[in-house]
Amino acid sequence: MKELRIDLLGPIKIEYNNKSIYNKLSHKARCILCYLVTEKYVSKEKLACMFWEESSESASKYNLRYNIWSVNKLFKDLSGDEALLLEWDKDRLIISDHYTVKSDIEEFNELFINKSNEYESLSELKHKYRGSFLEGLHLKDSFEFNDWLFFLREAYQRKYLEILQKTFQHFKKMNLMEKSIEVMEEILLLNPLDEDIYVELIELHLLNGDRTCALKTYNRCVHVLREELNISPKETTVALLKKIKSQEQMPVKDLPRHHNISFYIISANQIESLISNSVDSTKKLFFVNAIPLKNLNYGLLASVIDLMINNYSVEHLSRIQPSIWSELYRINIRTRPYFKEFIHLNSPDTEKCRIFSALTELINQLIEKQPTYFLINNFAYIDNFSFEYIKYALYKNSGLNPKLILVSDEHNEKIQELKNFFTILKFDFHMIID
Amino acid sequence: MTYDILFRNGHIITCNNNNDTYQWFAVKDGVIKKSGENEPNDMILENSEEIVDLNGNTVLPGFYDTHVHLVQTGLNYLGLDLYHVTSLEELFQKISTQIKHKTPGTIIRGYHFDVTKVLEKRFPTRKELDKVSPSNPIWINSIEFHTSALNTSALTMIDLPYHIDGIARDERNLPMGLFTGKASAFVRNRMLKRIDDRARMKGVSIAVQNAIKMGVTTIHAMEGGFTFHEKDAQFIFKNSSSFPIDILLYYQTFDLEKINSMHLKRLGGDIFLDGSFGSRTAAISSEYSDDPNNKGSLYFSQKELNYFVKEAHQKDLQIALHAIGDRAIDQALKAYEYAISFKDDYDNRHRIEHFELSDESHMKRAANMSLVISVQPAFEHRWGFKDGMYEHRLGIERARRTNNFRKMVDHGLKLCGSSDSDITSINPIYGIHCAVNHSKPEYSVTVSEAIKMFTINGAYSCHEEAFKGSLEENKLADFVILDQNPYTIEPTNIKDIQIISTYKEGIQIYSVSSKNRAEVVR
Ligand SMILES: [Zn+2]
Repeated sequence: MKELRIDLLGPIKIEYNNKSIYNKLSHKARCILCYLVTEKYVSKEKLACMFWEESSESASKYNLRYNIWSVNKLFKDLSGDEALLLEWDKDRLIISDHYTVKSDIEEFNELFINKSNEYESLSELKHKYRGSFLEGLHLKDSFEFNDWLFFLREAYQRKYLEILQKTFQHFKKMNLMEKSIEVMEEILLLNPLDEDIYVELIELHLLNGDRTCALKTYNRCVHVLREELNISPKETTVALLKKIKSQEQMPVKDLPRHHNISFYIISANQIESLISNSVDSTKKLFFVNAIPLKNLNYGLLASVIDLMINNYSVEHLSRIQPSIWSELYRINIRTRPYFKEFIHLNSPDTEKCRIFSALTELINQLIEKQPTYFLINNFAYIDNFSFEYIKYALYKNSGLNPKLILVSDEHNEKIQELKNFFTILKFDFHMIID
Repeated sequence: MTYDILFRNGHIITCNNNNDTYQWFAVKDGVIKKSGENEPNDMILENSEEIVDLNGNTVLPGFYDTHVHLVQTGLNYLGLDLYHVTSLEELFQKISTQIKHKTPGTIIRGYHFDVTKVLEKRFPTRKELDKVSPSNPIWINSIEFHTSALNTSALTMIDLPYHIDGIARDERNLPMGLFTGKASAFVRNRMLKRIDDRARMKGVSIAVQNAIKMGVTTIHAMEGGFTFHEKDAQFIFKNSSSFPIDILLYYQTFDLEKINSMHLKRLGGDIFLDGSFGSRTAAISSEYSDDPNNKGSLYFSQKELNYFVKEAHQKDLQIALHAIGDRAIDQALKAYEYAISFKDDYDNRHRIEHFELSDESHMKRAANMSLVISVQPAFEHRWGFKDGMYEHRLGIERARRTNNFRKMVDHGLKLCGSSDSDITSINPIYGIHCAVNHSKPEYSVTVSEAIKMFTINGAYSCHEEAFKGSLEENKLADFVILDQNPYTIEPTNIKDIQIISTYKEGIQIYSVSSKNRAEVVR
């Protein structure tokens, strides 16, 4: 294996077969490699001009030749006998395809272009951006190279900002306030003088019912504007202060909460005794496992459909309206025998809504009035769409039947999120036995 | 009673209420324990461990400079003064020379660059600076702090947000290295953050040594906030006790919680209600003479300022506000009047810094509230003369009204003197000279009044008059020995008076080695 890895987003990293070779290369050689990895096909003449702007033509050509030779010498040493830099098409310099070359910008661009609308990719993109393009690096005698750096620094920073903004939108849509706030803070880190971002943050804290943090952020904003720019905040920002203060009297946390809607949480070591104690013909306990595949949207809900199909007779299942099965076909193909025609609707937003409502119908129609418990094991692993469904279902059936038992640590972020709206009950074992 | 040192045979101007002059004083544990108009008696002589003969020289209390940007002053010693630069060629020359003394990678900070003075009437570009300094980061600050110029090396250090306002771009839409407005504020913040406290220590040590040579024993350090940096204030807070003279921090912040947690009794300094005449940003009630349609601007709304001043006033803090133009002065007065209308049971001694274009009604209102006015007599000498900057900006008529120290004193205002270093240099003798020799002679104050500005009034301006500011029993033995008597010298020669030595709490911290040196007799 001959793998060369060059990471350029953040401080430069150059590795051969997972070992850093940064120190084995001259500053100029590193810059040339970075340039090649980014630009792919470059003429030698251009390289010579660019990297040795001040030198005569012959001197710059010699310098380039020397650098190519020393890089190849190193790589021949490392790999056995394989040069890294090859001439191509007379004047071009390329990286030999005997080497597998990987770079973060390539991975970044690929993800950015194709998948930047998916949350999982967003978080990966965010992760890949370790810092500005070739952070802290410049060449002391090449205007052209430095211009190239600034151009890409700006381009990647703008992409990064876009990623942060999309991530934020995603969290906000999911109602994940803490996460939304975290991302906003990251945006602020890029430019701490941006009043609008403070305003967004204040609004988020207010939505989250956290007046104290809203006020803190407001003060931070006013101080930064005053101490860095000596300006007053905009009138609209000042108006927010009134809003913050007006919330003082209202116990905001209680507003959207539904005390009467509750769910249970238990710890993993309580599962066994719960299952063995709940054997009872009058009650039903469905056991479903969340698996650590965060990318798998609706993963948990698909398992719930499996459970339903496995636990009820074909006769029961056939009584459900075909339209419900058809909706649920989108997330579980085992529903196929129970309907004839597909329903095609394309908007992803309404799709989610239809799936949620279909699943709720399915469960209600199957369990009828029988007291039923859904036990979700490894709740921390739940995918985001299924998590949204949990909230949906709790609202829909007021937490009455079926009841939810979540196996989780109470400090889990998602539990905390649910806690904002619903009441947590500690499971009482007698209740289910009685 | 025994004494550590007896200072005798001097012309000791005490600056007490009676303006007494003494011949000797005896010091114990840094404090003046006894003093007298006539020769000390045998008992005093016998009980003094050391006796210093003042050789008949004049002694004054150690000087106060009550408005100094100490960290900036210090950093300037390490940087490049571009005030007199008249062409970009000269600028590049200066940078090249400086680089020779610096290790690669050290930041070169140029300050006071005045674009109106250079031939090309423009700032240098990033690439021009790269040619002179490929490896050392260069950061050039304009005289009014609104513009920064960086080379590639410096720009690479700061992780600029490219969507911020105020980035000048070249024909290829790449940063030219010139930053104004928000971008300049961002640049300044990041560059100052990059300057580490060792550099601050180095610079401030030089600044303090020079202040001591000028007879200064107490400095009011105005640090942090707009155009400065948080780290400067924190540096002074942490290190003030490691210098031989007293350095009092005036933190230019609005964060009262921070002030409280640091147990500071005062805040402000240059809390800029307006800008300056030089940059035509001081808030005045009618247009600038050399810039029609411009009256400068107020940076606060009255409501905002009232709110802040009231909050700080309620906490019994002393506040110092920067106000130069008459509109800003009026705003400051209104804010103080507002705060005092709610609570008037504590001797806050709120201050107004500069007070340059004040009229009699302003003075009366300030006197009614017992405000302290921090004035910079050297400004008059720099800008107040015929055809000077004041006249250009304000016109002859209005320029006749600036800095009327005589009227201020006559209205009973307490004036404390300062340099506003790095605007003018720390030099109280020169400050006294300028106050006595005002460019509008009828605005001059007496020698005694001028000396008080830099001594007892300085102490009063920070609640220290009980133990500093005059040479009286039970006060600290902070004093200076002069080579000539300011009362008897021709007033126009006051500026030539030399400091022979400076004492802090009875300890000599500076002495010229030449003539008239105080001699240790025993
Ligand atoms: Zn100042």
